[in-house]
Amino acid sequence: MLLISFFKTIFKKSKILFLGIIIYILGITYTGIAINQISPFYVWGMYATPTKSKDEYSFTQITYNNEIIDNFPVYMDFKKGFYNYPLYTYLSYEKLSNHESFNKNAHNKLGKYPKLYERIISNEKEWERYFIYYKDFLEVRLKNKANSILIEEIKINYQENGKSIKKGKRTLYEYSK
Amino acid sequence: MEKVLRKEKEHFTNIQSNSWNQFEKYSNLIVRVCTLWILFTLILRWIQSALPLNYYSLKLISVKNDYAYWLFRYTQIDRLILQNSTSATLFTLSLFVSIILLFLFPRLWLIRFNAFVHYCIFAILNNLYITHHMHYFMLIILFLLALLFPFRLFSYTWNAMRFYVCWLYASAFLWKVRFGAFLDWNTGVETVKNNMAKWVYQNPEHFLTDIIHFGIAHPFIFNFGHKLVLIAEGIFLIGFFTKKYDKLLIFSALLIFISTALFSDVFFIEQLFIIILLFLSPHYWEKLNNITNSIMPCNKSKGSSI
Repeated sequence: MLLISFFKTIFKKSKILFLGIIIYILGITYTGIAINQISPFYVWGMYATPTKSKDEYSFTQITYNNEIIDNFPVYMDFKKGFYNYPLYTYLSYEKLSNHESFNKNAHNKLGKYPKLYERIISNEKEWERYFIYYKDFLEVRLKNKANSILIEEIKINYQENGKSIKKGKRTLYEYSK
Repeated sequence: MEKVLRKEKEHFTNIQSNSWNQFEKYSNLIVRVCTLWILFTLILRWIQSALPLNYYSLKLISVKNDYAYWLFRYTQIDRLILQNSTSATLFTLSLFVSIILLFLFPRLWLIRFNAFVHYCIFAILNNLYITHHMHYFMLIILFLLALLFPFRLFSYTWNAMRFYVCWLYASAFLWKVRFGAFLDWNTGVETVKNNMAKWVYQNPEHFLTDIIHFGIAHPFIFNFGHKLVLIAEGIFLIGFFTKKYDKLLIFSALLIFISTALFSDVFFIEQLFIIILLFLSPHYWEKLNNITNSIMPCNKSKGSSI
């Protein structure tokens, strides 16, 4: 087997490299079993669980000064991430409706050490100010003062012919000067 | 003179007899090609305002369960770098310089270490401030990590990286078998419905939207395509046994990339190019070496000119 031949060669050639590779394999084995990634021992389990059919498929949309600003093609993924992911994180924070639940692991492990805990995670007050930060963030990124901001969660579904149909929307944040 | 030539001949005979060392001659070239790619992706991020100089006003972070991120937060490096626009810009500049230095002096360990540290900080900063674990950077981090071993071992670390990519896809496949996505027929179409909801809503007239509508109306297409992509991931298991089918693995990586880009809204371009390079045989590096040598002639005994 190619892999065994490789290990034999590495063992003969360099003990440091052999040891390094063994440590790395142990690391990815541990993180794989624990299902908890610790960089650089990555776990590649994306989309591993079945995706179930839903009544509604939701996403966020940002309208800034009356213009939709988060409609990006796939190759603009880096930019898109800055707008979308923080909002998705906020939605999961809101869903759990509890700061402790949202940071369950950190709270369980570091709850006894409040100073350390607060040093590592964003505290509850910061989460309450989420959209104030987000407004600042948009203004800095767009280099343009906000006259109006509308952040919505839009819900759609698909019809028999595959076309989407709007099911509803929810305003997450609204600002006007 | 004869002695030197004999030694050189012996050296190259050794290289030929040891297939794991076959990239040694091209180590400079390979590192520089990868470094150019890293620079290119950083420029792409620059164009899209996705570099640390654009991070500083976002204050909320999410560390998830990655203890490396916890440690990073504990050191407060993020606050130091992102305290104001000047410090964020200085770090971004320093990141570019570290990668350019790696291109110029790939054999200097300190330069390689410097690039590794800079890129790690950049990747963690990015993931903390978009509050999401983006895996896009990971292969570049591992490439830079592999470079921390002595440069004379480069060919072995390069081969180790190749095995790692086989593990990356093979484990992605095995996870899907273990957790049920592989055996769930409707996961394909449901993933498209979920991930492309925003796209079809915001771009109703686009031709890709028409394709997605058609695929959702005929779910067999997406479900079957999904299983094909998972099999393409599983095919990487072959890579542990032989290098004979490496071209097939390149094709599989491309298939996975294109299908996830079009129908799952995922774009891991940073990883893709390095993956392709890892499965290229020395034959292609020899060709590239000849091209670079014809552009920038050098002493051939030293290997590549770039």
